[in-house]
Order: sequence, then structure tokens, then C-alpha cells
Amino acid sequence: MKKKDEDMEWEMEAPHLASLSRTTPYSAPDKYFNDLTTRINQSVFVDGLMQKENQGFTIPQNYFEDLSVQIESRIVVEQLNALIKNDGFKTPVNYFDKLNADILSKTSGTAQKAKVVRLWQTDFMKYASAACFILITASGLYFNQQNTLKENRKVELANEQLLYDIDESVIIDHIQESQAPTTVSASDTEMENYILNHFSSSDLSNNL
Amino acid sequence: MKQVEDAEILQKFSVEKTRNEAFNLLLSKYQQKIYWHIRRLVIDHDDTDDLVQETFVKVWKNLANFRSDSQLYTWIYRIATNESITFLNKKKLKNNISLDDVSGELAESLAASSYFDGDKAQRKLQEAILTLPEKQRIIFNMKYFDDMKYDEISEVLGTSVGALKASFHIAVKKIESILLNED
Repeated sequence: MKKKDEDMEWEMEAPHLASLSRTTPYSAPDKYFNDLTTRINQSVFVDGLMQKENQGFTIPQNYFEDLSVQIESRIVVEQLNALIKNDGFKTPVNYFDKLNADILSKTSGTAQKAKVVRLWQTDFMKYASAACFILITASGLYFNQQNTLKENRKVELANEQLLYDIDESVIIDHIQESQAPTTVSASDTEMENYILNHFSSSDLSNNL
Repeated sequence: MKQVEDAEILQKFSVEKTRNEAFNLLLSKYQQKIYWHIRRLVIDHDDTDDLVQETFVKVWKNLANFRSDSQLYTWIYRIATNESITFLNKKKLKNNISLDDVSGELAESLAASSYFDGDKAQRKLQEAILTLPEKQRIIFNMKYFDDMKYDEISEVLGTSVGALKASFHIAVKKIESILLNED
């Protein structure tokens, strides 16, 4: 009843409007509502996935609240930087173009090129070097030889000294022993065996 | 198809096993109503499609917290209305234009739309509705096309019944005047 009264009120005030059909004059694409449920469910599913992905990440507290202020501040700073092209200092005109040349001209007078002296500049030097080399080598060989002779002499002297230290009678006995023929007594059988073992028949026949 | 009661939907949604079934029942019951409600506000079908999906995603996420101090139907309407208003405000900011110019854009969209089935009179009516301020347009649509009671509209918009009545009456007079002048 209340609703009917509500309707009657405005219908009386706007009869032309009231006479029009109260259908929405728009249309939707063909079969749009057939799969709308499926598509809404898909949206719900995707939204759920996105919520899960975000759970792994954290952001500082009040990050988004401060973000807009930070962005605006940065924009202002960049705008100021663009306005202020330099920091107030000036340089003479074409200063940097000349700077390179100035530095080069100042450094070229002080720096001296290192003098290169060749070792064998003249023939004299070459021959002198060769002579020195030969002299040194020969000296080395000579002194080495002398050293060897000295060593040998020392050994001989050492042996002579040893002889002086040994008694005469011992030396004589040794000499006599070395000179005396050595006689070995052997039986006839032993001798025969020895001859047969050490001499061939042709040797024997030649010697007889 | 027999319409399921809201209480049954809510009861099934509270049980995890039957949650998806409950949501599908809810979609079957309300998706078209919500679609046309949004469509009347934003005009364009593709924009409407996006907003319908966003609305029901929010319904899914928040239905568990729904307190039965309002009807389920008005609660869903409120979400849909807020999404539409947010969308229109973003459009204003994006194009750096005033509300009146947004209405102008919507009127252009209406004129260019291939999904308009109405006759000349209905086109005039739609053009007249687009001249209304945003909130007044919402109120007019809900009263005129959805045939909602002022109490229900009050639940959706959070505006008193008296203010709603006044706003609707002003809208009706304005539209009537436009229709009569054009005739």
C-alpha cells in the first residue's frame, strides 16, 4: 500500500514519464548471461591466487600512505634541478676547450726524454768486451788447473809423511814379501786337473 | 527456476563444503539484476562486465562477514553502486573533467552504443536521465527501473528516506520537463 502511494505521488506529477515503458532499453551480447557465472567464478579464483601471492611480501608500515608524498617531493626536486642548471659558479668562456692544450704545453717542457745509450756504440767497445771475456775465462781455467795440481801435491806430501812415520823394518818386510815368488804346493792329480780344465788340447800340443 | 531464499544461501555459504554451491545460487539469483543496475549507471557493456565481476568478487570475499542487519539483496546492491561510483570518479580524474562532462561522455557512449534497443522516446528518456547529478541518477534508476522501496534504497545508499523522496521527486520533475520540452 505504501509503495503504491509512493508511486501514485510521482506519477501524478509526471504523467508523461509514467506513460513510458519502464524497461531498460539496453541489450547485452548474445548468450552473455549463459557463461557469466563461470567467468565470475574464474575472477574469484584468480583474485584468490593474487591474494596468496602478495602474502609472501611485506612492505614497510604506512608505505602507501607516504608514497604519494614521496613521489610529489621527488617530482619537485627534479623540477628544481631542471631549473637550476648550475650551482652558481661560472667558468671563463671556452675554458674547457683550452684546458687540454694548456696542460699539454706545461708538461712538455719539464719532462725530459730518457737518453738511450747503446752499450756497443763503437768497435773499440766491442773488442774490449771480447778481450775481457777471454781473459776472464782463461784466468778461470788457469787457476782451476793450479788448484788441482796443488791438491795432488798435497796428497803426495801426505803420503810421504805417512811413509816417514812408518818403521823401516816394516817397509823392508813388505817389499820382500811382495817380491818373493809365491809357491803353491799342489799334488800331481790337482795339477793334471788344473791343466785339463784350463788348457785345450791344441794349446798343449803346440807347447810340447 | 525456483528462487532460493537468501537465508538458505547464507547458511550454505557458511559451510565450506557447500560454499561454492551457495555462491552459484547467489549468482543465479542476482547477477542479472546487478548487471542492469550497473549498466544503467555506466552505459557501456564492457565497463559493466568488468564492474559486475569486481562486485561479485567482493561479495565472495565479504559474504562470510555479512551481518543480517540489512537484506542480502541491498547489501549486494550497495557494493555494486559503490563500484560504479568509484569507476565514474576514476573516469573523471583520468580525463581531468568535471561531473557534467562525464555525463556528456556517457551520453556519447549511449549514442554510439550498438547495444541500445529502445525507441526514440526511450532514447530521450535515457539522455534526460544522464543530465541528472550522479547520486540523483542512481536514486531515480533504483526507484523507476528497479522499483525498489525507499527503505531499500536507503539501505543501499545510506541516505535517509526523506532525502531520497525529495531527490527522486526533483529528478522526476526535471525529466518530465525535458521530455515535454523536446516534444
